[in-house]
Amino acid sequence: MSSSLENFRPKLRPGRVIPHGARIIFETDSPYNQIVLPMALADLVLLCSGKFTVREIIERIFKKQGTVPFRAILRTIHIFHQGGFFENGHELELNSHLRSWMDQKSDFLSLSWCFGQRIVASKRYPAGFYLVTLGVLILGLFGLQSFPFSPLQMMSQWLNADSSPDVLFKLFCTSSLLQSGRHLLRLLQLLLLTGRAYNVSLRLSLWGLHLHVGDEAHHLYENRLYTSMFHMSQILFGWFMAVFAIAVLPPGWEEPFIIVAMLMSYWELNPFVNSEGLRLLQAVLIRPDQESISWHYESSALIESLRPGDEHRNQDFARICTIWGMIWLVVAFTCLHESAIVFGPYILNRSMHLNFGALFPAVGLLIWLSMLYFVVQSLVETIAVSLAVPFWKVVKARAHRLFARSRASWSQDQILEKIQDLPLFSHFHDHSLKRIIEQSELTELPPHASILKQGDPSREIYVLLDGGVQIVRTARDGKTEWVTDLGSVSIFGEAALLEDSPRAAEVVARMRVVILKVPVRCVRQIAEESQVVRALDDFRNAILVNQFFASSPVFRSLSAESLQFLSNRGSLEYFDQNQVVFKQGDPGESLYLILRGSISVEVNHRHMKNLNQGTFFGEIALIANIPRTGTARTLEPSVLFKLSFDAFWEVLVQNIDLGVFIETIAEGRLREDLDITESLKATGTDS
Amino acid sequence: MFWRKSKPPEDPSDILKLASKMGLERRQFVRVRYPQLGKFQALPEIGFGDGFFRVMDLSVGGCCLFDPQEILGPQIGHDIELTLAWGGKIDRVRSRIVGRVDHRRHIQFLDLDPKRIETLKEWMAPGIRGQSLQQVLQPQGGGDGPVLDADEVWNSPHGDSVIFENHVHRYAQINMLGAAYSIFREAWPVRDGNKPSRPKDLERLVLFLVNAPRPSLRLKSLISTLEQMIEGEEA
Repeated sequence: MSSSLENFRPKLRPGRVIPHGARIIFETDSPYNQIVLPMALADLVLLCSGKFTVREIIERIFKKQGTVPFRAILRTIHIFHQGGFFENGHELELNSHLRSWMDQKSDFLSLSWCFGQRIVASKRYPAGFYLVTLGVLILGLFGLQSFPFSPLQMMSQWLNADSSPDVLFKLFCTSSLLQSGRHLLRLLQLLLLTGRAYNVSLRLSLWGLHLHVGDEAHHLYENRLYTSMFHMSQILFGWFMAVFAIAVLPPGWEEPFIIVAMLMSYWELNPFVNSEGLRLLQAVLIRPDQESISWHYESSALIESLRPGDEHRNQDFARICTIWGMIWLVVAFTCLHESAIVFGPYILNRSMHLNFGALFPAVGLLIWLSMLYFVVQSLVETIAVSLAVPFWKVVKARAHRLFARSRASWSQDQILEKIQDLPLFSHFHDHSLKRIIEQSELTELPPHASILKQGDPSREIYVLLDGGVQIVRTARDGKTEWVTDLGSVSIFGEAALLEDSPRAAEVVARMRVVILKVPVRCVRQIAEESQVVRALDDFRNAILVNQFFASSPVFRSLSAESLQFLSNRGSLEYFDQNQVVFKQGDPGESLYLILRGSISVEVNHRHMKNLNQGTFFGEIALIANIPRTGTARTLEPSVLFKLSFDAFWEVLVQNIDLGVFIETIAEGRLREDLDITESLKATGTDS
Repeated sequence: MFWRKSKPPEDPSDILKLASKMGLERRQFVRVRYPQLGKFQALPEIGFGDGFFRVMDLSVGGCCLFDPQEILGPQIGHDIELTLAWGGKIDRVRSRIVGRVDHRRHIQFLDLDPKRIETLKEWMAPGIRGQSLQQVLQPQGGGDGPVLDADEVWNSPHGDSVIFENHVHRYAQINMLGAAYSIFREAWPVRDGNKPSRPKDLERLVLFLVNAPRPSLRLKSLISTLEQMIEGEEA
């Protein structure tokens, strides 16, 4: 029985929680099976008794402490899970996002016998690590000289010289030996550098029967040089061994050794699995203190990272992986092609005979076909998709333009059918709606047309019947910011219902659009006549809030129930220009979402940043249960949605992903403030 | 030691650490509960005229005094001159009565010397940290799962802790503001392993512990033990 993280009932193995200063040591019955954790996680450890789900544990911690350290809790559960501290760890099933976030590696086609969850050294020797790894790298480069000029010719000659069982036996032995050696080196390196290694096991995999040491190398990311050396040495290990092996091995064993070394190095450069090469790239490109969504090229996060608006760092990483993947696949294709030419006639010839000797060529043919399938699949699923995603929207928009219906096809009944379910119009009777449509103007606009401009007077509400629009906003400093994209059927410009203030943003057609321009006075007049004025007030508030949640990248992922819950538990607040929302040091009681307007944030009477429409603030005090860390002041007349502390936490404890995200945002914002403060001090401009 | 500790996961109080670096983790005029003992080397005794009051709580902006004889009068908004005795030195501080609940008078300091404010901030730090202490939950497994190897544990998101040990000689370990104190049943407390604690350390510990919300019997007993040690040392 498997369960998601939220419903998982973590049950730790019997053991003791030993408090020691600012830390606790959780020790199972095996004295070598220990883990040291911050004291603040003591409650979590004591609650992992199999009695509560992770969600219930988070709720209990919140009730006791008034705050929940989401990331620390998830990391601890992950470490317990990886280290085999849970009795029921097999029941935990992580979704792809959490798996990617927790950096868990899945095993591919392997059986393993775990005989040591943890190996520890009494002392660390970074200098020893440096010397050993440097030695492996230098000798590995020497060993590369034995790389054959024509690998496939060498393989062909060797296969012709030996019988098939001998070939397989030699490949199995050399592969097992090389993999075991590589993992032994990893064990040594980890012990020298970190003083510990996890999950030592004997494993039967496609690489033979070999020793396996868990890859905890992400702990090394604190030092880029060591990490890079570690991964490079793992890639070149086969060639390091070649320096000694070729001199020692009896005749007939040299070729399989070279073949396995080549395959190992090539596989470790594979960007489609969580290989040493990919980790090397991460170690070089990604700063250790940065959160990254694209840890694995194999994960769907890569594709997501190509979305506009994501961090350039992730996009760049994905692009480099794509280029690297293409090169890797070209090499694979070339090898497959060459091998088909060299071995094809032989294999086909032998496969024709129905005898025992035909079995091995048939297996070889199957392996070749599998590899071809893998290469084609990688090319289509990952490379093509990665390259196609950025252009997909353009193609889609053009297709829309080609096949969209013309204006002439929109009858009054069709428009009625489209708009009657919109929140603004759902309380009007059909005859009232028909009157509204009669007094409205149906417009068709080409792509990139400006539908309304920032600063224009607000006299109409716009209903987007077909196509898509982009809402952008020009900030005070003249920079244009993307706010959101809207598709059909949706309403924009609804602020005209709220006030007579000028338009706060510009709306531009992304493609050909069909728009219904509804005069506000007409809606008001018909609402009064139909006695739905009160409902109209509710609509305009609801529209503002709903549009915020629909367009906010933070809240978009929440379930409809959670969004409904948040909408119902908050209230709209209107602020004039230069009005203080809260002061530094005030108790933190609510989170604010900026529906309209912008906010200036000051820390210790110093301006830190401006926050604009579509974002939120006030989360630091709530997530860490501390007073307000800054003063928030409106820069212009603003409409804020105030969300109470209880509602905020009620949703957070139900949505662990959101909790992790908000905690990350809060920490990032504080870090930015600290950077600004320290740079001001350093430059002497801090008064 | 054969085993080595593994790298612990990210400290859960990262946001707090960042906020602390900028001095934003607490309210500007946060109040700390004043210990019953009332006498400290660096914290002032507060009085009016010739007499001194019992101080209920104290902040850099003011204090709460217990005034059963109504020496300060019943009216709110009056400015008075209070006497702050810092050991041998006496400051006269212009103050205002801003609130009154029964015999308690809430006082706002109007012209406290900035140097004294800094001294107060330094001495109030343990009290402020103590306000975040919380008792760790008891094991929830009913016999299954992990067992707590201590009589009682208090921790805080800042990393401070109080551990009541189940040991013949050691009574408690206190980890406060980065320093580790061992309290023994029959010996003088030590700091950071082997240094004997000074009375000043004990005063800071009392201030730390007395501010813990909803203290248990063990915690109260530890406070009185430390207070007795301080009084014995003074005597």
